[in-house]
Amino acid sequence: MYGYIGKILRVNLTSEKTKEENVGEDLLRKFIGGVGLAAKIIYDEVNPAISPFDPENKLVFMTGPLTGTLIPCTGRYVVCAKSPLTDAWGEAHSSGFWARELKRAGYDGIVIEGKSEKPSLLVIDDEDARIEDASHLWGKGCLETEEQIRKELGEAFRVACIGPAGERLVRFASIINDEGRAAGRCGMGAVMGSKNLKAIAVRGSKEVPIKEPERIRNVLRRIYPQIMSFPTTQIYASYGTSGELLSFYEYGDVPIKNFALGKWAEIEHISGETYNKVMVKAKRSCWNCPIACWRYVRVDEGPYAGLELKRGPEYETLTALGSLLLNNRLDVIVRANYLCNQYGLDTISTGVCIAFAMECYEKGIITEKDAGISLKWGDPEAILRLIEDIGERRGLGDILAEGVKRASAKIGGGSEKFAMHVKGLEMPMHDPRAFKGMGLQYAVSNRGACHLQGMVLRVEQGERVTDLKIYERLDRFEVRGKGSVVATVQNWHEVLESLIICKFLGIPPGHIPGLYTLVTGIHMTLEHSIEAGERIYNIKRMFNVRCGISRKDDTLPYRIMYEGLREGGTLGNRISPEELDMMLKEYYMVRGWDENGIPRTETLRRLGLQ
Amino acid sequence: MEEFLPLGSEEELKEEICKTMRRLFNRGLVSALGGNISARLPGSSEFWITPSGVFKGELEPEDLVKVDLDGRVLEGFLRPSVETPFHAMIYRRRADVNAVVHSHNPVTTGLALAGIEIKPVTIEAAVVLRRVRVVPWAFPGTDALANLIGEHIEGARALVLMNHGVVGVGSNLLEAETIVETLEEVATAQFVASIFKRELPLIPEEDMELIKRLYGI
Repeated sequence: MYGYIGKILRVNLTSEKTKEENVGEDLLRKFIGGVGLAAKIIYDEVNPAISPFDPENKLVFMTGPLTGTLIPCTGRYVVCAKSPLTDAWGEAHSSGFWARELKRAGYDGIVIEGKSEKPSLLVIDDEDARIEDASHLWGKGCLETEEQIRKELGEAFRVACIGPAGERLVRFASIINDEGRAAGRCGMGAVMGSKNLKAIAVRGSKEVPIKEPERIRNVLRRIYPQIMSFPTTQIYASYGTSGELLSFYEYGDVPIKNFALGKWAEIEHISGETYNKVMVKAKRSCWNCPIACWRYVRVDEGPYAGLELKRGPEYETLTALGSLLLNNRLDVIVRANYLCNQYGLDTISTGVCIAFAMECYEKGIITEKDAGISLKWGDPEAILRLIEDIGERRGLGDILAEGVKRASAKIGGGSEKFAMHVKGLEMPMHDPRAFKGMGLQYAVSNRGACHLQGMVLRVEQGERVTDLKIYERLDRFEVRGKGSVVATVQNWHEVLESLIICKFLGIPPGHIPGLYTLVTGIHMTLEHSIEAGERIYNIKRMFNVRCGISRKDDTLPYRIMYEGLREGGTLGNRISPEELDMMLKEYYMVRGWDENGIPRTETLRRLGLQ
Repeated sequence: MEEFLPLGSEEELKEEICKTMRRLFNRGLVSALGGNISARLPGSSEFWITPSGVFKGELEPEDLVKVDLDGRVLEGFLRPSVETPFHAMIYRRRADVNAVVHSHNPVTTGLALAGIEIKPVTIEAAVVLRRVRVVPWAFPGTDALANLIGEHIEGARALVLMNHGVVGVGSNLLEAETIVETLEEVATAQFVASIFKRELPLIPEEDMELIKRLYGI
């Protein structure tokens, strides 16, 4: 095989046995790889009725056919399981070098089953896979864990691991790889913790086989002028993901004070321009990436002077731990990001949980006595203390560690009205009142409130994707037409996440099938890839349907539906239940689902899922 | 179809498309990323088109993409030009056209932006180009642009696309190339003249009348 290795490693932690499995070309044609293949495995093998922490839950790490090849921006992996936040489909994505190393070791992916009796470490050294004792690593932070493992096994090993948050089953625990890259969302780190798996260390020595390397080089050389000219590619190269912060702010898209304010006089303190000027010391990139959006940061002054992060805060972290909490101090954001990386916590969910706690405190629903500290908006001490309390599952932190949905159910007092989540996954840092299509995307996304699977706000900003037949500019406050566009971009993003190629590369969809063909030798057309994307989206939905998800869960937080903001770029807009209903009706119709959001038999048959 | 020109092979056609692109690139009528060319064997309902987003100065035959008149990809691995819909539209509307050149002629496009019409300042302008119509703005790559071009292409050899570039069509590639090249030559002459003189001396009316009668313009 080319591009693909054609082999998956299956690891049973209960029996401490590993085995290799071949993957057939038929399956790869239907599900591509990456998230598509992971979804197929989980759909076929995971009983939807089990608890996410049951040893029978499976944690699937997957790369794609383009991973680790000379195609740019292909250093990513996806990790999937039943999510402890949503009790339904869960997936998280990360980049760096770990994924490429796994392919070089000789595997497209790893399926982790069962539960180890004691803390364990999975070592994959080329095709030699073994389970080792990790008791000495248990309790260590992610960055320390990685350092220690590389010291013991060798610097060439790449490590993906959990921190104390994952060990303690914090429901939004992340998996951290390559010194601070995070597979953050949906609590995949908690699933890994529930299996007593501390880390996966990988070293590989083989090149990923490619069908036509010379032709690919020749094509890439000549399409670089176009893909590097793409506007967001330019912004990410210049500033990293923070480069769009002020522009998003103008739209009213940046959440402030738990989505309760539309303006904040101090926004420039955390802008991309300020961040790059004050905090950033160097730019770094993942495997084979011409954009280099990572920022190496160092705090020069104040209480955290000398603190360095090799992978500094991204847009989501700058806002989730900044504007969302009315925290205008970049040094505090860097420190908070450092703590999240050490504990292994998703910075988005962490920020949303802290914002929720601060609003509860402001409204008198919880007191200083409950929290152990005053939770004033923007207070650095409160923010950093709560992160530690969540990571340690201490006091109020233990309640917040359950995620904002469960925390608000426990705390009560009307707090569910400002618990910002969909299906249990905390909202990312794009306010859907600024882009109503994003509201629909959040409402229906398989993993809960997700900005990345579709990123339809690009279309609502005016981007036309002619290859996907998105020709028209859509008014961002309009609801008509959004159902169709959201489905289209979601399907396409499933393709990108199955291949796997980073969404920051400004490569038009029409180029992708050709590059796939040259890498794998398997002919693919744009139509075929889009259909595969739709198939993958639907198989995830079917897993969710089996978990009990339906129309009732495709909804938005109360605040988004009932509270408009008086100031800022959203111009008082909200997404009323009636508007959401209109969008859902169109969306379900386009998707071939019934009015309850269940894929119709003929849709499943058309996609070869039945 | 009556064959007044020998039908070449598809491979020759692809070579010819690349040669045409290189000549236009070297003349500055096609830029690194802007412009596209297609051609078909006479009578065929499929055509070969240049890929999108690939540096135009170094195209190779294996880069080209074969599509049908609905724009569906039949052969090739690269992304077909984003303007495939309007190329397909022209072939659907004009059985006599076997080659379409879309170039980014800087002077012609500049004159159109300034609202200046291409006038019969030379015999070529009148005879070769006939009447050059300006197609109003539509976003590149959309069906809306294809439809507008479809409305304007009847009886035309050259069109100017507002804020975009030009289109030349012909029974073969050399003819389509001649059209866009002549268009730029005429536009340049008109532009130079307009710097020095407000009213341009056009071809005398009696000669124009003769030309119009002779050539049915």
